[in-house]
Amino acid sequence: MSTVFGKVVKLILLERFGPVVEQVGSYLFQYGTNPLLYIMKYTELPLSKIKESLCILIKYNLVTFVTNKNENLANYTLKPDRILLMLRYPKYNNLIKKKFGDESEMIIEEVLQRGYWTASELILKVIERLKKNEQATSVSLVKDKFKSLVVAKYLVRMPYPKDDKPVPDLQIQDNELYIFPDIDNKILAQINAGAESMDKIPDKGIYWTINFDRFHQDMRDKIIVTAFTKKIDDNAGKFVELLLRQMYIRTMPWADSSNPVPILEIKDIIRKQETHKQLLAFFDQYVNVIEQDNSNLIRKAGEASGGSFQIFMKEAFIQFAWETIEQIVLEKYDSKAARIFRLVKSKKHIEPDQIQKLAMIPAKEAKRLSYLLLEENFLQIQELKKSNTNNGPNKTFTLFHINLEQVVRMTLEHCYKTLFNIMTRKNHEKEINKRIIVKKQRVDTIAMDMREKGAEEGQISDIEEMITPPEREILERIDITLKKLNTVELEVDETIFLLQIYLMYQ
Amino acid sequence: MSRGRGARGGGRGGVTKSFNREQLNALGVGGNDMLPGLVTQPPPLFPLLDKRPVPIHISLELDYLLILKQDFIDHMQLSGSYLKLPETKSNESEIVPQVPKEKYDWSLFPSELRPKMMARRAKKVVVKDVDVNNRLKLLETLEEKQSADTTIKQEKESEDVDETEIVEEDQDEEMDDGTDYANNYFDNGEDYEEEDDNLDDGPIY
Amino acid sequence: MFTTRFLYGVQEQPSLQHLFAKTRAGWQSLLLLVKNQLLCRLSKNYLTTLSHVFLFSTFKNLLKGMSEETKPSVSSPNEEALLDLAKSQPEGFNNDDIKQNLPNVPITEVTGIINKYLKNGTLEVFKMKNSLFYKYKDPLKKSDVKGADSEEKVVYKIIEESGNKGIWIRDIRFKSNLNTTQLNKVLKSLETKKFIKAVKSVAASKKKVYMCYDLEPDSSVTGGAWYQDQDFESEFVDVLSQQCHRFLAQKWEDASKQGGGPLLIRNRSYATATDVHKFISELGISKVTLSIDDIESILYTVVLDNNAERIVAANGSNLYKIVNRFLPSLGIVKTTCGICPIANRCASTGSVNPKSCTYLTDWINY
Repeated sequence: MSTVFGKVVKLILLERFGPVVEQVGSYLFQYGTNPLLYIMKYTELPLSKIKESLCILIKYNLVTFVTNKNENLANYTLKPDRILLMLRYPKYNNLIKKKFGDESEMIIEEVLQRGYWTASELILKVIERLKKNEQATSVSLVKDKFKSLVVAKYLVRMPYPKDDKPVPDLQIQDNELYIFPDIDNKILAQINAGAESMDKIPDKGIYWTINFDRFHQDMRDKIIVTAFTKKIDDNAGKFVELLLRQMYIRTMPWADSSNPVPILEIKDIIRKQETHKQLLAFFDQYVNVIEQDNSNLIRKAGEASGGSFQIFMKEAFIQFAWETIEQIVLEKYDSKAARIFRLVKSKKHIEPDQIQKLAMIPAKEAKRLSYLLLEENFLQIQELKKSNTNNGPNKTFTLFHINLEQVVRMTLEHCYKTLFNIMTRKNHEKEINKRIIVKKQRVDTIAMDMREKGAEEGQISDIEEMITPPEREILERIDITLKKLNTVELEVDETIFLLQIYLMYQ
Repeated sequence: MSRGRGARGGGRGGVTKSFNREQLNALGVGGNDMLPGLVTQPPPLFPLLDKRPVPIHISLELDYLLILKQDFIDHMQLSGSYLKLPETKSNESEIVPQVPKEKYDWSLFPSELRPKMMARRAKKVVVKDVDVNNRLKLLETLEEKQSADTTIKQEKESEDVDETEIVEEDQDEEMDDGTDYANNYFDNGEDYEEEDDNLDDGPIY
Repeated sequence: MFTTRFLYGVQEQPSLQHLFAKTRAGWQSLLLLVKNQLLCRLSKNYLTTLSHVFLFSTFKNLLKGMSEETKPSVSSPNEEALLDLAKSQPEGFNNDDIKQNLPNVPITEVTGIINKYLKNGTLEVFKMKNSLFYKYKDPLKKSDVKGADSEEKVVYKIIEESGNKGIWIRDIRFKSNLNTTQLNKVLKSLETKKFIKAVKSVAASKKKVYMCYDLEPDSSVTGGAWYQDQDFESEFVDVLSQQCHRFLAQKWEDASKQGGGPLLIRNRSYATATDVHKFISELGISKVTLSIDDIESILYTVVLDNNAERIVAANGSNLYKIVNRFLPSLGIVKTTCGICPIANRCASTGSVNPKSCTYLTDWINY
């Protein structure tokens, strides 16, 4: 865990949980697993606040605990990777919205906001929200939505204590993870109508939380599908999408490569869906083109039943990681540097003299760029000593090469650094304009309050005009700035995700 | 530069301390053109950036993501999970309305995290919670549970004593100023008595 | 070049300083001229020794000839006649001999012929009793380094062996076992006598290789089509690379318009270097004639830029086709931090920090 990663974690916690939780989290980041007493000693926060902070962090599954030597005490461990995921929350939301619709999105949103919750309470809450939006709904509809999220494994049951110990040992059997409890619609309807109290929910103590892995699986697949769409076309993208879908029937989701998928299955689906006429008409040609693509990510596994195909996920992310780094080299240095980088990649090991020749770059420039890339750790050198003759001088060959994993790790660090910079800048922009932002908030609150109380528009606009035109201008500028910074925060996370998946497969 | 020396040591395997002109030429280090000009001022802190970042594409989807992001942060900042430092609490309480404290299912948390009063009261609740689980898991052996409960009760009653002991053990191992620490621990425990009043109002699982 | 300018300066006994003011870099040229007895020193001043033999204009021609490139020689009857004369006079001959033996040849032509032979080493010139003598040099003996000492002979032999690829001074040193100072002296002497020449190699900007004077350097030394006077023509290569890319893109576009399914489109998008060569030749953007191999090299840069793929066809030739990338533009390069040249210096505190970073400021306000 690098320092800069710790700084990012700190800022994420600060923005969402405030300074106290942040201090506890940062302490745990820096010093690793620790008992409550030590946290108190080093953070110098009041015990009550530390306890509260730990409760919050545990609730959001950002901290785990195990029993200390003494059974009454616990040792706490921060899960920094989980904290980083908080940047991705909007994407999880959006993914479910697109795939399952608004009700399901609300369910996910509520779980993300709370960490975990019972199905009944979640269902009731979503119904309440839908009513507020004046959307028609029913208990059974929302319950079904909930169920399908469990069946599709986006939600997973929380581990629970087996027996009553001071430090609970939270466990769950694999077969319990996705079993939806029996919930009587009537009771929920009664509670919803106010006829029964919340205490009567039938699934007390059965909590559901987000199965991030499942989301990441979807996001991984989306990268692959988008890649094929971009490289070949929409139809090829569709083909790969279906291939991935059929893959799940017979392959573990995170396997390096899929088991063979019969091609006819895919053809059948396309025929039924009727959305991709071109793909159906030229099916065999598409199979051919995809199989023969120079990426070699989809390969024929056998001829039986019209042929079956395998997709190589690990290999795909190796190639994506390469392309990622190449793009960074291209944007950071220039096209000549990117050319050199790709040349070294394709030759594995290459002598400096060969670079200028093959990349067709003037000697001086080639030298400058390759040593720049070396200095910035995109390239590595290896020295080979070779004494081929007895009387001749020892010749030393300097060879350039690339250690992809090392470069990826470095780039990942750079992504964290970028996140840190963007967040710091964001906080700074807010800080220097604090007065005006607070004023705006106050005016907004008052105006909203008045509107609720049915005040006249004239009065409300009087209040709103307390923000002077120059102030308004500044506010607009701040808005644009913050939007830009927030956007980049989301975007950088995409790069981080891709690189993390690559590393996960290694 | 030591041409003479370079020449003398220039035989096979000879070690030259410095490069001679030919060697330098061969290395691409040439005559005058390689000498940098006179530097009269420090280089700029931020050298001119001749490249632009790739422009951001604005899309409806992106806008929606930004809204979700802001919503989540707003939600968190207004929730009981956003803790302010005690000092700043009074300064800003006028802007941010007081939020009720989070409620927890204490069976999922280490008991040391519970406020004192809660810990004692929680005993019964815990039993109830176990019952719920039992019902759902189609009744495990009830007898075991009950015997377990009694042991827990015993443990709970002797909890305070235990804790002091543990703290002292830890000190012996790793800390010097442990006695103060133990005191602090209990002092802070007292503070909790005041706050417990607030918590009493909320329903407790 | 220098020599010509010298002679302009030498018309009326100029001083050394005077010459130097005109041609600062000309020490060597001066020495060369003196050595070949075209100039002589008169106390502090220099003066041409040939003024009584040739007109000044012929002189100019002579020197111009000396600095010009060798051209393939087609012998005229007069040249043959002069050569015969030269061969018949192993002890040398002067202008009077020429006038006697070749009365019909105008003096201007004689000068031209003599210049040519002097240059390609068929004749040599020397001075005897205040008049100029020419002497035939046996081509078979040309490689025999006349008047050279044994060291020069050894070095010359090493250089001769290296052929038109030339040999690097360090390698000569190792092979000859001469020390640097000695070797430099020998090389300078051989160069002055025009037995060898130094050619700048494109492999390293300052690296010189030595080869026999008459040889045309190999393309590995000059760099081939991409080099002009040892300078790599970067823009030229870039333009060609772009055009190759454009050609492949066009090929794909045409195939797409034709339709017939993705496989057909793909197969029709492939081009060979010969196809591209034809296209480039027709464009007429190249001043030099490019070979198919040259085009293959250029196409490889398109492949390296990830704009094309290269596959080997059944007949063993390379096929090129335009390709797209997998990934859309990355999040990390959408901010200045992703492309920051001074990221290593950036920290939360210090003069380069995210709060006051001007790159970020410019980017935010852009």
